[in-house]
Amino acid sequence: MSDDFERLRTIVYSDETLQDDLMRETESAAFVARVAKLAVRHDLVIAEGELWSAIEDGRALWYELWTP
Amino acid sequence: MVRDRGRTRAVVRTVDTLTAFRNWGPIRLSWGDDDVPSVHWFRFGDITFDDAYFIDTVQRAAKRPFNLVFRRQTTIDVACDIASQHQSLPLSGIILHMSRCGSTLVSRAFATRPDTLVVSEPGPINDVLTMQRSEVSEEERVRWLRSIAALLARPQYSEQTRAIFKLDAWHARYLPTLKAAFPEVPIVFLWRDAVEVIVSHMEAMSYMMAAANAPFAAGLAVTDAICIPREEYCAKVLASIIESIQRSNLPRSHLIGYTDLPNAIWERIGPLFGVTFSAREIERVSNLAYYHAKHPHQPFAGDTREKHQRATDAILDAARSLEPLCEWLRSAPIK
Repeated sequence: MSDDFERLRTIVYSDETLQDDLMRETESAAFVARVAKLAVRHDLVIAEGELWSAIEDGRALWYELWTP
Repeated sequence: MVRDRGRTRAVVRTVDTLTAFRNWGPIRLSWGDDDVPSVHWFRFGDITFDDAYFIDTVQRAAKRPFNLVFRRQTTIDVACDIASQHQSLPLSGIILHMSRCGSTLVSRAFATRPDTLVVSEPGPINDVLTMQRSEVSEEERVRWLRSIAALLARPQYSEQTRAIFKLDAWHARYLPTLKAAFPEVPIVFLWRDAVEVIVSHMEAMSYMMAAANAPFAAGLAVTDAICIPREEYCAKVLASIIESIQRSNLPRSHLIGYTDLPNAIWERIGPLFGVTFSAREIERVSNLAYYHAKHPHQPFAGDTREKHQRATDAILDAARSLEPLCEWLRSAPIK
């Protein structure tokens, strides 16, 4: 995970209003686009591919944690 | 409890601002590489525990891409710190059961009350109770259990004044730990005729009855469980649960039979949990009982007689082995 992605996480974790806003996105493509814009707004360089990888990574962990 | 496989990000070991976890809840525990339990968190926000089972609510939360990308992970000690800083609803009751015996109906009956948060079969509680590590002391396990319970029992609506947990069937085997963690919380045990329960499991096998889960479900080695016929293994799991209840000194009046439902919900369980049902609430629960508790869009059809008719000889033999325990359950006083 890139340093800028970690910086983005810190920004998100410290802002509940932002979390509420991002939670409303249920479609992955719209979510990725939104987070990409957020990154640009904070002068962070995060490729959309990195965000898609993070989504897949999250799904894989979810599967591992909950597979009986 | 699963082991992390290097996919997870760095585990948070301290938290500067505990309010940062205000709308987050634990979803599972796992073992980190350093053998320290870590807690996985999802943000629930507007996702409330309205589903029949905790896993269903977590699945809804997992559908939000936010939780896949921004999920969090802390050590168990950080989770305990977070729990100590946040307000939780008092735990008014714990529902234990032998499975396929009306426990979902009971939990739904309380869940429909605006003043009650019901958490049904939460994975993190199971993870703490069943974690297999000799270096985990009972004191630590109790402390972790209380913290995880507190994190799950945070109020979601302003009217909520209490929480009730319905646990997994095999958690009856961990009653001493539950009683040590929650000494003042009343516990009830729901049971049903053994033939009916075994028929149900043979027709729709559950996670609990898989041989791979024998160590925590029945206290058996997997290698032993796979050699036993399914019906017989099912009876051994149920025996283990009922024997645990027998050893626990749970008051006999806390043993609730399937045939006593739904009336026992407002006549017996409610008073034990400090909950009074009004006439309207009783009517609502009665209407709830009209529908299938696990599939609320379907009317419920009582199937006691049909289950006995479908019981094979192997099922009847297995149920017969449970007869002394079932007789003990049947002789429990109604009041």
